[in-house]
Amino acid sequence: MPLRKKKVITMLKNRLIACLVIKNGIVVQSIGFSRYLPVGKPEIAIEFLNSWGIDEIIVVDIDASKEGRTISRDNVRSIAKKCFVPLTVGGGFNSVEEVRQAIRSGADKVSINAAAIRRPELITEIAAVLGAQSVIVSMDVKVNQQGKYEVFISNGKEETGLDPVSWAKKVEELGAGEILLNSIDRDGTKQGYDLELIKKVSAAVNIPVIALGGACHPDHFCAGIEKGKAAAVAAANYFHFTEHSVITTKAAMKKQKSIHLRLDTYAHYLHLEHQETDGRIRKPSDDYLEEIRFEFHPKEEI
Amino acid sequence: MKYCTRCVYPENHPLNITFDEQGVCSGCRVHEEKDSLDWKKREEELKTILEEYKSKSKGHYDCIIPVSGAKDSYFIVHLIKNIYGMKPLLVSYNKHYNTEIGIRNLAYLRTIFDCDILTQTIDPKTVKKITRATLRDMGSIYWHCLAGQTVFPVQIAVRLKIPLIIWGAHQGIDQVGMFSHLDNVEMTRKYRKEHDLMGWEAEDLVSEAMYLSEKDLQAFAYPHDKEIEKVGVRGIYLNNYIRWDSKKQHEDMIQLYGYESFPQQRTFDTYNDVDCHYYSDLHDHIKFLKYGYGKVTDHVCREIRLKRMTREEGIDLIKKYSNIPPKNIHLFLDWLGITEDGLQYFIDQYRNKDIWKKNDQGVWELRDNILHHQHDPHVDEVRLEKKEECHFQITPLKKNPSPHTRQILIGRGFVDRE
Repeated sequence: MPLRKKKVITMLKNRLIACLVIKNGIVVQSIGFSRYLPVGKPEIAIEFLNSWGIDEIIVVDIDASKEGRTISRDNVRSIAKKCFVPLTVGGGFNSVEEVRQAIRSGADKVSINAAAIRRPELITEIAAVLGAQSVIVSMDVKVNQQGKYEVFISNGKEETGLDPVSWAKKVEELGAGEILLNSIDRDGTKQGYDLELIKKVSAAVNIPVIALGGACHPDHFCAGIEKGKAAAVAAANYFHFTEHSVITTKAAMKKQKSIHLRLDTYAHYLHLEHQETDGRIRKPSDDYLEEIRFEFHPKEEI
Repeated sequence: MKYCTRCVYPENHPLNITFDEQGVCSGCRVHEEKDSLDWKKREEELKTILEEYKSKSKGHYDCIIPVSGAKDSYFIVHLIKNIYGMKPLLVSYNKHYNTEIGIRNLAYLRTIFDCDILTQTIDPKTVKKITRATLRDMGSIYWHCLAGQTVFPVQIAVRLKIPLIIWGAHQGIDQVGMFSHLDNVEMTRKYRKEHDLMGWEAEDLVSEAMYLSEKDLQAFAYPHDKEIEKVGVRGIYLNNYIRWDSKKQHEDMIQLYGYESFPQQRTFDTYNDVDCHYYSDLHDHIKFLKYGYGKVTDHVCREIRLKRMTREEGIDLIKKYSNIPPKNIHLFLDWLGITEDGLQYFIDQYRNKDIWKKNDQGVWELRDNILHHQHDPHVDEVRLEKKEECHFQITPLKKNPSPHTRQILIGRGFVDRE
């Protein structure tokens, strides 16, 4: 029998990313870029997302740009202290110096949005100094009145006339490391990603595209990867709703053969099934509960 | 200080709060869902969940219901057991600050509904040690109650392998609109740590200076993630599925089961907190000293949103109750063995400086209060129309109160009517 050539897997794992939207110093839920519900302190959100095995965290201060400042260094420092996964911060960055300070305060990457549109060279400047891997260009996309996708800035209020696909190609050319693609129309809707948009942008560039906006079910994340061809899938509000949300979501996604994820938390939820309707865990079988009723579980030793 | 133009919540609400362009708070906006959602459909969703969790093993419990001698306990048990036919295990953390009525309400609760109950009573010496520490570390006399109430049900769930815990209202939703009802938010250790425990989990209190060891705090420690996962424990909140109206629910329970109500020192709500000597008393006074507003503000906001009170009537009530001194302060000081000055010293460390300032004479005064915000812009345009009057009943007592106010650690409770 001929030796079969061993298949070399070059593909990176898909990442599940939590996005924390900060307003007035607290994490909020964002709905349609217009309603904001107060969730709590960024430090505590970061602490739990870490223990739930999130792959990356993106923290965006949505007031910063509007108030003509950047996300504060103290804030970056205090959240970075609790964060053991790659941390991206965003909000108001206009210069390489500001970005450098954020990185010094503990961030691994920065996300820039309006500033990149106003002065596209900024992308190249940051990439030249800190490396392409540290620049995420974030774009907020909405279907405009002509029924076409368009990039918006200023929390979705200001149009730019840019088409997301050509803008994505441009930022790749300028040296961006990744693209965070957010759908304003889907923000907080729980209806899943705008797959058509994600597919269009992902197909147009070679750098990783992170999908954001509307995910509220493990199937949505899977679709973002499988149908949208996103390299990473992100959500903001969703992770605040349930216990161990990151782990239960990853466990559900793992059941899809084509999804490759890191799931290495001690609690893994692989023994449980998920509801079709909302993707939440199902009750374990009564036989199983009967069986474990008298079992002893020691704590993990690290 | 910004105050909501519809209810009366201030922007320094400890659970955090946001305001929209009209100055209406996130709590009021989420509350609007109570009139816009299809609650029949929501209830069907609840029934689906409950149906799944009904145990097929003979005689085992279907779910856990945390209860106390007050605060919607009757309603929750009534709904889950008598209406939906579940077999719940009741669990109760003994908060040590019990009133006679609280003990009695709890005794009747377990007898009327024929339910099994597990009660956790931590030894008083440890509770006092912990309370001294929490007074020092966060200016709270209530940490152990909140920690115990929120962890004991979870410990029992993992120990007895009962995967569903049923809670009443989610405070974050009901007060500040932290979540939409449609988020179907569930119990998390994160919420407990941040909002119930003010950022302090049991482990964080271990301190040599306070003679507190891990052993002392073991009863308040959250089960390990793995234990929760193994059993698949979930905690759901009924106010996501039932249009929550605490006043109406209590009135139904008074009528159906003879729930006892009682006048409260610092608020007009005579239903919710009758089981504790301090909740609407010293604990609430402390809340006022920290944040510049008290429980009466919470109750006013709730009644304004439920269209039983105008903003102006609410502000009058806040004026009436906010400065009433706690009457059980000495009961507490004697119990804990500290002086009034000592207590005051600790509380002063935790005054919220956004609302309190020390004047030239070294006296704390409020920077602002709701009375200065009666005619803020938008108040009239966002006003809800009042639909009914707000009257809280005082029920006849099943037993004459004993002449001395005292904390009851364990009591018989059930009495033949006199």
